[in-house]
Amino acid sequence: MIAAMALADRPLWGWAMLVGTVALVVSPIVAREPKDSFPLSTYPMFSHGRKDATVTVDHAVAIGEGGTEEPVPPRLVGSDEVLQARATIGRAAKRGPAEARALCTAIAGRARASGGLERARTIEIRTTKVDAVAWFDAVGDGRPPPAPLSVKRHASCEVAR
Amino acid sequence: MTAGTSPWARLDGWVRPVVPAERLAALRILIGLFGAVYLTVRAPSLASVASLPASSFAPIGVTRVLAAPLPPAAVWTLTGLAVVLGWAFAAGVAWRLVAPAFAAALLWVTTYRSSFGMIFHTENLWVVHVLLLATAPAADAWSIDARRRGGDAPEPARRYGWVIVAMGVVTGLAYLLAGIAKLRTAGLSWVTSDALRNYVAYDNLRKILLGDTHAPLGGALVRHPELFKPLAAVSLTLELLAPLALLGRRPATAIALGLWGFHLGVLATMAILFPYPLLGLAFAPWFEVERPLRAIAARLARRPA
Repeated sequence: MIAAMALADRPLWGWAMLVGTVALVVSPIVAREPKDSFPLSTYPMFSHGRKDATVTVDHAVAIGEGGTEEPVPPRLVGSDEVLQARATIGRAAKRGPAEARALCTAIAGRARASGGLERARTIEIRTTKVDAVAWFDAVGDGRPPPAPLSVKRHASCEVAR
Repeated sequence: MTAGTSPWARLDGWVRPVVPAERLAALRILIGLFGAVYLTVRAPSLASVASLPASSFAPIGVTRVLAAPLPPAAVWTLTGLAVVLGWAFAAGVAWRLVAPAFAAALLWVTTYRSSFGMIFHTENLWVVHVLLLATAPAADAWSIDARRRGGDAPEPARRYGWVIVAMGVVTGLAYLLAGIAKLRTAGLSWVTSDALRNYVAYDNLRKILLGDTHAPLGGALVRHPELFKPLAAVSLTLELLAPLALLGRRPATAIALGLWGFHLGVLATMAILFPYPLLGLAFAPWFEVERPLRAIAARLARRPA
């Protein structure tokens, strides 16, 4: 880059930089197998056409003594970013009961150490499937949300206090 | 036909326009300040990947050189270095060393954050703009370096112009590629079906189940399906037409306003924040951004002591 600044006055340099930059930016999408990366991207945001509004989400749930449930905050999963936490949970769920249980135990340990989720007695790693449009229709009408289409429990562990 | 008006000369004049050093400096200041503040505020979040399990590590881009995640101390050190260099970049200090160092640090820190199974798309354009700025003499004016050098401001020159054109082309391309991605994945059904409505519903409910901030407006609008096909058509059209902003100030203004409105809509209906375009910085290379800064500087200079 230091050399680049010294070349800034040369006509061909400007052209080369422009053409090179354009080539790099479009390279992910023109590749034989388009692959998203960073910072060169296929820009796939919102591009996946959704045939329906079914939500399938891997998540961690904290369950209290009376059966009350609340989402586990992402920082207890290991990241401040919620989608990164979701990816971590998804990976653990996909890799099988042992990994899911290990993550569950780690979350429970962080909850105990930090004092978070004070009312939680149990942590569950789940995959839940819900019809999102039906959910918002019901809630918008003042009705209780519809039951999930399916719930798969991958691991459960106690928050020992 | 005179040499000055040959097609090649006109094309060269478009690719490498003669522009004032202050315009490139203004972009450095605006984009650099954004970066410095963003990195300072988000440093804990950016470095929080250090606590993710090693099994989550999925290197991409420049981090593919790593076989395993870095130790937490290294992650924190590199993040802190990016913060410090970001402020120096904005100020235009020791430009020939700081600019490439900051560009490298920023590229590393932002890529590393996306190397744990989740690629973040809110920073791509900003990082590419910084990489381009770092190759150019963006501290020849309005910088600590320029103040130390003293003397008159440099004359307008092509050396300041081509990188601004490159940054503007990258902005146009980014949105065009996003539009093409939608057409490749879903075809025109992205506009003619309930795809956008389903996406807004899906994204908001997913956030609710994950305990994240969601957009109540998005949830409410889901109950009005007739709104979404026109919204999808407008947003896809803006993305596909984005490169036309390079034709002049009027199309640039219209497209910038349209895309800014698109990002405002995304924030309002899905609580997804793209700070770089929402602050107008993504579109800044399309405009003579030194003018408002000159006006502010002149007003400050006229204030009584």
